[in-house]
Amino acid sequence: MWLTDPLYGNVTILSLGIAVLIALIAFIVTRIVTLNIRRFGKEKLSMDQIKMLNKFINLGVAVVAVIIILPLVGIDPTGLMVAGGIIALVIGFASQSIVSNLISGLFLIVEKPMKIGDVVQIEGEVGVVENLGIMSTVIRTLDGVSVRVPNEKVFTNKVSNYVANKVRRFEYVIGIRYADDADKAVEIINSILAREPLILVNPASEVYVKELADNSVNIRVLMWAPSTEWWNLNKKLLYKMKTELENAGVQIPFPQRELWFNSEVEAKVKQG
Amino acid sequence: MFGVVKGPFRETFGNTEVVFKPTQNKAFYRRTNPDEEVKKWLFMKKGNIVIQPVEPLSVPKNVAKHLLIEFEEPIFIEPKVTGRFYLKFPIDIGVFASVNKKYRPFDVFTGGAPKYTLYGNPKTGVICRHHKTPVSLTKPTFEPMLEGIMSLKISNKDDECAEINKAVFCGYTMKMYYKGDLVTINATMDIVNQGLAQTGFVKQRIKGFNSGVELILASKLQRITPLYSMEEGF
Repeated sequence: MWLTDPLYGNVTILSLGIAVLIALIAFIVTRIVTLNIRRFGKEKLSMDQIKMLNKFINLGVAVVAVIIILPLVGIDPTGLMVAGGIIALVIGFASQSIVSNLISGLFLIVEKPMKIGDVVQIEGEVGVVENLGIMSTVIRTLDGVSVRVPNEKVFTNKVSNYVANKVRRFEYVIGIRYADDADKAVEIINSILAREPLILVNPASEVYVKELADNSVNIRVLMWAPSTEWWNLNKKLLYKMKTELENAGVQIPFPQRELWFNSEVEAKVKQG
Repeated sequence: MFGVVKGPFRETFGNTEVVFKPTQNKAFYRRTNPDEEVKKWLFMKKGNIVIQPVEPLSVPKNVAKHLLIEFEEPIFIEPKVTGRFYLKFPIDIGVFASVNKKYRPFDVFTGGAPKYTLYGNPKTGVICRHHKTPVSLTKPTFEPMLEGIMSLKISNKDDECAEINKAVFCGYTMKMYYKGDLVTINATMDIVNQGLAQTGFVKQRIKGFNSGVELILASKLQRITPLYSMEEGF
């Protein structure tokens, strides 16, 4: 059979044909998988993540296909694999952190603790996520500095995502004088919260006397707002409460101390 | 008053005053309320200024896509029964420049006091414009320019009785109709089972009423389904 006649070494037209077929199958499989990832993954992954994942799939399938094809075209992969293994070992030792960042990047794609545009805190840095790369994550801090955080650090450290949930709670503690009417103060604060559109009806705000402190009666105010808006509200409402409380005669006291003397104290008062 | 603005205009919408002063091809627009003042110059030759009721989702910011109507009196409905009730819902006012039959908004406001709420849990829930309303069997009196009247058809398709305290709608699919100061909308609510209700709006023009301009054109948005599934209680 001419199909099984050796062309050179053990390589026949049949084995070459199979090699071509395997390459074709590998190409078709990667196309199908990457197209489906692009189609179905766009709701859950960013475009960058999809591109990155597709590159990995292309590379993985290509490596497997080459390993299968090599013996079919007369190249013994054993030697290559041993050499490759040694090189991989050397590179592996030399680039532990690179591999660690890479693997962490892949896990972050799967776990998705944040997405581009989220406000997060990583390693003490608070900022907006600008880029989620395979090796590192870039955040723009609130004072406009770009910070590149290696993915290994992102993966192993605590990440706080301030906008992962639709809403978030924030609070104030407002101290008033013992002489003031706490019920009236609570009523004024509640009316401010009721007038503010973005302080949510549900979950409901809570305003109550929290503590009878040394110098003041402390009122705790717990409010919920959309995660995208809470910071602006946080800046705005505290001073509004102070102003309206003072307008209603409710004062925010200074620390004060009463001194009692056991014996009479002589005082000289100078007039004029 | 809704419709095309002709000549100088001064109108109060709740706590908001709108002034429009045309001079030849130019016009000055000013809106004031206790919290803010908006001033704009308009250069228009052929176009008109149109004031229309719009979906109550934009004031003070675009934080919500849904409208939650809370009932002052819950509705208790037995299985396989359908009933029609009248509710009041909030409206925002859109001021549009209308040129060649195309509407472009240049100001959106409300004369009322908007409030927002969360429906569902903080992770998967939705932020909604909130409005509390009495439930009536006949068309209720309403505050012109601040509220509209919703006709809500409730069908209990379940085999159990249901108590309904609120209805959540996808605001992007709202279709309002108006005549003079009266703004109306037709809505449906189907109780599927004890944990699920579906709500939606009926797009059916009412005789003598004008169709409101949709600020958010649902047809141009992808993946907007006309029905909203209430899975976090009703």
